Amino acid sequence: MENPQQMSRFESRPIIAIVVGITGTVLAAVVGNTAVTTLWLGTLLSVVIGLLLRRRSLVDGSSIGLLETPYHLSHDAEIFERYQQMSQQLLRISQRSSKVYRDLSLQVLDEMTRRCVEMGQGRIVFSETETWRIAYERILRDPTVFTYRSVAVVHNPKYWQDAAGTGSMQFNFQLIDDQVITIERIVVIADHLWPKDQDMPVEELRQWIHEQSVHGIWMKLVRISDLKNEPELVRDVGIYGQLAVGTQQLADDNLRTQRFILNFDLNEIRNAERIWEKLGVYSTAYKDLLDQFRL
Amino acid sequence: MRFYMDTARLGQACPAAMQVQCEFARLAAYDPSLCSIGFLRDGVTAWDEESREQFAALNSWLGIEQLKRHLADAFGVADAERIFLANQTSRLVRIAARTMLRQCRRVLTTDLNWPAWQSIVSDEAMRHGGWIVQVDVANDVLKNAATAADVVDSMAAAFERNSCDGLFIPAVSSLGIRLPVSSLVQRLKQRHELRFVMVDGAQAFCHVPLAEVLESCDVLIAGCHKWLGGYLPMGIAVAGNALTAEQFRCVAESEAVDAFSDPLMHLTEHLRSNRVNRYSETVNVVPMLTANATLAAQTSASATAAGCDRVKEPLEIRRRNARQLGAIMDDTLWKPIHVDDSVGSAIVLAQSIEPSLTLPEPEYLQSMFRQHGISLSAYSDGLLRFSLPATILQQHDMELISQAFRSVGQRLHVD
Repeated sequence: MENPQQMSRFESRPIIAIVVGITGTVLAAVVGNTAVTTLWLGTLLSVVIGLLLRRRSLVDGSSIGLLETPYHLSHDAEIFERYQQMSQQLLRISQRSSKVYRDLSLQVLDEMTRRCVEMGQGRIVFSETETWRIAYERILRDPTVFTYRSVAVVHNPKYWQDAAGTGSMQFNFQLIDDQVITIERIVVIADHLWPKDQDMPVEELRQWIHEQSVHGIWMKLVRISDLKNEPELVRDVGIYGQLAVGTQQLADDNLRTQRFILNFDLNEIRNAERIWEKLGVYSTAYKDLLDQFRL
Repeated sequence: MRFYMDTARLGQACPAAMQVQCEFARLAAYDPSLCSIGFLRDGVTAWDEESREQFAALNSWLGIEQLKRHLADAFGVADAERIFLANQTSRLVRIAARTMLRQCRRVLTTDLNWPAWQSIVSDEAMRHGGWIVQVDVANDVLKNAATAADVVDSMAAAFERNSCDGLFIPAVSSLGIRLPVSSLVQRLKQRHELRFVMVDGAQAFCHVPLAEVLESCDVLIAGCHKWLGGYLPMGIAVAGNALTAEQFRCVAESEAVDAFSDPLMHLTEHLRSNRVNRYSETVNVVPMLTANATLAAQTSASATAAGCDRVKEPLEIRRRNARQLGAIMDDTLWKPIHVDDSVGSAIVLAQSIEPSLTLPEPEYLQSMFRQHGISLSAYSDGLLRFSLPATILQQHDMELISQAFRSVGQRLHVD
């Protein structure tokens, strides 16, 4: 708790600021010089913006005290409701005396905390499930998303051709038909599916690429071996406008999803965009390949 | 009309086209049921001998596939599957624009684009969240005598400056400026990711050779009622490659474009895939017959004149006529607008040179020339447009045209 003296000093600060502001403005008006008035108003505006930004950075950071947390959360009714529920349950958990119960509860809570930390960092993780496709569809339907750029790393010719993958592909086509977004895809292909001496990837994969191209997805291709000096580019990534980045980790069969991470952090989006730009240099448009090597 | 020079608006009908239309009207009066699905698909081979004799002028009609083959020959493409037909050209423009904007984010256009088509492309860009970038070319060509190389330079610079990935330009503009499509595309592809090229070929089809343009573009849209002389309007889209043809078909068949669907396009595409909807809208099929008759007549004419190219040589004659026309305007109220040969076509523009003179309404100006046997296009600021014929204008023809210019000039001074 802050002492009364401190409180009174904090309370007097806005009054001092107002007095200084008014005095300065009056003086500037008395001087009657436009340049001085402009300079004074500009300084005041800069100070106000600076203070607002400082206040915002304080709220964003972890510097908020434990006691201030509910106050800040109360501005967000949905989160506050969950905070209340969780706090109440934490109180109930702490009231039970069984050691076994306590150990088990702490384990579960640790796992929950880990997931909360991930969410706090802007990440939503889906493990061993295809349910991420629901979030994927929701993001692509978001009105702020106009472009979807995707990198598909293909080791298996049946990549994204199971029921879930085909469904997502049909969803992509529907979005294009509805003029909701434009889609671009770079397919990073394992060399056994596109040997160096072959003009095109194996037929099953080429058909998959061709179908997307016909439906209006701008397709580019690159062999994995062409990226041997930049292995960090070989990642299954989807960039959803400026909203989020999705990273898919597939099981060994290159078909089932092991992990899908949705990241809403702006820095991650920028990183993914850099990867996309680099891949663009190495890859060739499917359309140009067709022009070059007629089927 | 003694001198018909308004082809850029509406071409003079080929006699074969007129004959076919009259014959079809006779058929419609005698037995309309002869215009069956079989007749449309297979032509007169679907009829018995007696009907073929009775309507002999329709014997050139051998079905839609044959018409598409004729068109493929005329455009200089090998695959007739890449040809699309429609009653309304604007619907083909809509489909082409949508195909383009599914893949492109910024499309470079020029101030030479036909406004109605430009507006369709802009509308599609808006729907897709794409951008249209317009570069001014007309002034450079018409006032500063810019060459094809200059145009390529300025357009390539605009393409780069605006990070464009699509291109929509006319092969020949309504003002007769012939844009260097192939060299521009070649230049852009060397340095940038050019995803889609859409070309307005309305003023180019049967006026200038298009094979090279088609090799470098994705879709070219044209019509039958101008330089072909097919008389009845019918839209034609030609896909530059097999992939674009599939994309175009995919857009045309998607439900989203249903609102813009075209009866002729539906019919021809359904016949192609043998799935005719008998409950669809009644289609005006006569433009197919007139276009086919015109193309067949041109094919047989060029076959008769051995070694005669159906576009290149007529273009040479038209250009020669254009130069002669420019030369006889010296003592008249109009001055030809000289454009560099590399961007010139068979369309000549002439600008009135007396700013003090109050020029009449374009329609009145047109009628004044018409009284002297000259049909041309006139615009509000005294600009005249001549589409030169493919027959050699003789000395006495030039004298008559020159006389007409002087007479109209004198009348304008008197009025």
